[in-house]
Amino acid sequence: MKILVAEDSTTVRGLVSARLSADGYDVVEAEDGEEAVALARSQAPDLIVLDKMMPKLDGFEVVRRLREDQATAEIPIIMLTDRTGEEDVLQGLDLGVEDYMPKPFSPLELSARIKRALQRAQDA
Amino acid sequence: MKQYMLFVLGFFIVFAIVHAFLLVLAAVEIRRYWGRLVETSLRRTVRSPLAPGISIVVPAYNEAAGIIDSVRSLLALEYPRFEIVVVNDGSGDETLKSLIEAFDLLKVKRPTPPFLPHRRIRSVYAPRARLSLLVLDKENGGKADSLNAGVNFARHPLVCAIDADSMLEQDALVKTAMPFIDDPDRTIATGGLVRIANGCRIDKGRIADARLPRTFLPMFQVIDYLRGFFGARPGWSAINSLLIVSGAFGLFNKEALVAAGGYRTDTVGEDMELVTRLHRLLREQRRPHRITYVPDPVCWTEAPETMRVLHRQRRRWQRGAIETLLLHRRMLWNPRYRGVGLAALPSLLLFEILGPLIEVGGYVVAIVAWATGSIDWRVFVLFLAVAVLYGLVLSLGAIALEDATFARHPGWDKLGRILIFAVFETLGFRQLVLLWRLQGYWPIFTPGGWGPMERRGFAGAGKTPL
Amino acid sequence: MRQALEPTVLVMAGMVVVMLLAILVGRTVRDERRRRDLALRPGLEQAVGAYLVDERSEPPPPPGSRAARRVLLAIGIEGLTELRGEERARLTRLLEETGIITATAKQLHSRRRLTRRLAAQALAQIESPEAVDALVKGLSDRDLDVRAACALALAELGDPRHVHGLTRTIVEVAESRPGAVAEVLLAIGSTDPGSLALVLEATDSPRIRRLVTAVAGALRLMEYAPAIRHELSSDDGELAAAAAQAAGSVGDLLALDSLIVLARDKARPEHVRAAAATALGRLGDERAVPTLEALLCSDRWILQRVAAHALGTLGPRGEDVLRRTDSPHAVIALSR
Repeated sequence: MKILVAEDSTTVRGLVSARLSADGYDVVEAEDGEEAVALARSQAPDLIVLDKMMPKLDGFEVVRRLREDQATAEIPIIMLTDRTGEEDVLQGLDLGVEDYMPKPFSPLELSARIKRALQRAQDA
Repeated sequence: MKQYMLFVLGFFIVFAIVHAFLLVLAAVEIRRYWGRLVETSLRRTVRSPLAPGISIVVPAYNEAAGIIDSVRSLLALEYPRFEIVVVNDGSGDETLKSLIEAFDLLKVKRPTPPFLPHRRIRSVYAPRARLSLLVLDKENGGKADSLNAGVNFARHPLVCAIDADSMLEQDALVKTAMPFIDDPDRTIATGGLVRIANGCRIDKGRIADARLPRTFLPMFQVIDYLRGFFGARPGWSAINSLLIVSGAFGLFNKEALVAAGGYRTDTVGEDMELVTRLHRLLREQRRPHRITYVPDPVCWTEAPETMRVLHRQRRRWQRGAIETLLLHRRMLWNPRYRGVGLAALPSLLLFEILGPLIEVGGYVVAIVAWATGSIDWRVFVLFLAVAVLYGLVLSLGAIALEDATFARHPGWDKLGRILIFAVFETLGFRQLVLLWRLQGYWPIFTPGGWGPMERRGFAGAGKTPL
Repeated sequence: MRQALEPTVLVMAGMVVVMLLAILVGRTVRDERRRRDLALRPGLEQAVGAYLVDERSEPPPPPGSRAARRVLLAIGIEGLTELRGEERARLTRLLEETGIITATAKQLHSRRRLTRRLAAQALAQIESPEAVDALVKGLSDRDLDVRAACALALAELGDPRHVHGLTRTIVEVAESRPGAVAEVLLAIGSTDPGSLALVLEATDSPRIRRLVTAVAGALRLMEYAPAIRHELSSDDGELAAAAAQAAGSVGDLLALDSLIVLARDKARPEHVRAAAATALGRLGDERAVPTLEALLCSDRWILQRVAAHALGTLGPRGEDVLRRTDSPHAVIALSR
C-alpha cells in the first residue's frame, strides 16, 4: 500500500514517514502543495496524509484540485491541522477530506486511522 | 545660489542621519521580535482558546476575476476564529454574481448596524453552509466607505482591513495578531510587511514561487519598499510613532476604530489619516496605547507596471500625506502627542512633504549654477554624488537589515539584482518619483482645491504609502 | 562649498562600502551556517525518527558539535510542538539522554538576555523535569520575559509544588506582560487546575482575576463556577464582563440571577450588559426570557441584537417573544 505524506516540515514529515514505513507502507513524500498534487497524480497513492498549512498551495486547495481530477478524486485524504474548530472541520469535510487529525497528533493514532480509512476504501 | 545648495546639502545630511538613526531603531525592534521562538508561539496561538476573533473586511470593486480565489485563500488562513466580510462596492461586473454562485449564498435580512456611516446597503448575503462569510452589496462609495460598512457588520473584536487583491500568506493573520495577544489592552492596531508580487508565479490567488520582478519599474519599487518596510517602519514602531498601517493589510481593534469614527471618505490617504487620528484621540483621552509594526507577516500585492499608474499612485500618496498633516496639524511639535507629535509628524513634514521641494529645488539650482558658471563642474558632480549617495546608504542599510534577519531573497543572483537596482534606484528613479510627488501639491495652489478625487474604483491606485 | 562637499561624499561613499561589505560578509557567514545545518539535519532527523519508531532501540549518542546540538534541539522542539502521546514522551527522553536539556538549562545562566529567553521558551516546549531547578531559579531572573517563559515552562510541567513561585511571578509580570501571563494561566489550568485558586487568593488585581476567569471559562473548569459567580458583581466592568462570558461557557445555572441583575443594570457599560445577555442565552434557561425581552426594547442596538440572539436559543417562550416583537433583529434570530 502506498501512502503520500505531504508536509512541509522536514522533521514531522520524517517522523511520519518513519512510522508509516515501520508499519509496512510504501511512503512517498511531498514538501509543498504543488508537489502533493503532482505526486498524487503520478504515483497514484492509496491514501494521502496532508498537512493543511503548506507553502505554494494550502491543504484545502490541494483537496479541491484532487477532487476535481477523476484520477485522484477517490483517494482518501487525512488532513493534519492546527485549526480544529467545528466550522473548519466542516469546511474540510465538505471539500472531501476523509478524516481530520488535530495537531498536536500522535503518529501511532495516525497509523490506526490510516488503517481504518484504507479498510473503508477497500470495502467500498 | 550657493547658499541654497549648502542648505540642500545640510538637508541631505540631516535626512541621512535621522534615517540612519531610524534604521538602528528598526534593527533593535526586529531583534526584539526574534526574542521568541516564533514558530512555537504561532502554533500555540492557533490552538489557543483565548485567541481573539478577527473579521477580515474585503472591499471589492469590479474584482470578478480574482475575488473567488481571493476569498478561498483567505478561508484557508491559519487562525482559529475569523470571518470574512466582502463588501461589494456597487461593482459593475459579475463580482457579486460569482460570489453568490461559488459560495452558494442566500440573501438574508440583516439590519445595518448604526456604528459608522456609509452608503446604503442594498442586500446582505450569507452562505447556506456553515462558513464564516458575509457578503454586503452596497451602493458605490469608495474604499473607505466600504471599509466602514464592513466594520459595521463585523462581529469580532478585531478587524483586518485588506485590499481585494492582497495575497496574504497563510500565517500572516496570526503573526499580525500577536501584539494583540501579548498586550490586549494597549494594542490598537498592527501592520505587517507588504511585498511586491510582480514577477512571482501566482497560482489561483496564491504566491507559488517568490521571485523578483522582471521589469525595471516594479524592481525599483522593491527597493523603495525595502527602504520603507525595513528602514523606517520598524523604527517608528519602536517609539510608538507609526503613522501608517498599510491599506493592503492592517489589523485594528474594532472598538477603537468605531470610537474614532472609522475611515474618512473625503481624503485620499485614508489609511495614514486613520492611524494618525487614532494616535491623537487616544493621547487626548490619555489612554496608553500601542500601534505596532510586525516585521514578519507578509501580504503580497501587485505594484504598478507602467509609469502612468505609478505616477498617479505616488501623486496620490503625497496628497494623502499632505491632507493628513493638515488635518492633524495641531499635533505638530506638540509634546502632548509624544513621539507622533515630536518626531513622526515633523519628520513627515520636513522629509516627506517639504523634502521633495527642497531636493528638486536643489537640483534645479545646481544645474543653473553650473550652467551659469557660478560653480565649478567638480562641485556640481560632488553635489549630485551626495544626492545619490545619501539615498543609496539608506537603501543598503535596509537591504542589510532584511538580509540579516528575514533573508527572504536567498541566492546570490537575487542579491546581485537587488544591489544593482539599489544603485540605479537612487540614480534617477527616486528623483523621478520626487517630481511626481510635487504634483501632489498642485491642489493647494488651484482654486478647485481639495475636491474629492475621483474614486469610482480603487484597484491599483490606493495602496501603501510609505 | 567644496570643503563641505568633499568630506560628505567621502563619508557617504565609505558608508556605502561598509554596508556592501556587511551585506556580503553577512550573507556568506549565514549561508555557510545554513549549509552546515542543512547537512547535519537529515542525519539527525533520521536518527530521531528511527528511535521514536522502534521502542527497543537505543537513543543516538549525544551530538558532538555545538551546531549539531543546535540542530537537534530545533528538531526536538519542532517535534514536540507537533506531536502528542507516546512518541512525544519518547522524544523528550531522547533529548534528556543526549544531554540537550541539560545544555539548554545551562543556557538559562547565560549573560545574554536573548539566549536566556530562547532557552526558557525551548524548555517550556520540552516539559522535562530535568530542567526544573534551572527554571525555578529563572523565575527570579532580571528580565521579565525570561521570568514569564520560565513560569510557562513550569506551568506546563504541572507540578503543584511550584505554584507559589509561579503565582509570585504572575503577579510581578501581569501588568507589563498580560499575554504571557494568560498563557501561563492557561497552562496551569490545563495541567493543574486546582492551583488557579491559589492565584486568585494571592492577589486582588482585577487584571489577573480577569485572566484567571477567562481561562477558567475557556477551559470550562466547573470547579471555578463559584469564583466566577463572585466576580459577576465586581465593580470592574471588564472583570464582570469576563465573568459573564465564563459563566456562560461553564454553563453555571446558579449564576442566572447574578447575570440577570448584570444585564438589567443600566449603570453598567453596554458591553458588560451585552456579555451578560449572551451568557443568559448560552445557559438556555427560560427564566431569563423577561430580562432579555426588556433588553430587546432597549434603545441600544448592541443590546437588542444580543438579546434577540439569546432569545432564539431559549426554547418556545423565547421564540414567542421574538415573534411578537417588531424588532428587525428578531427576524434573524428566528431564521437560525
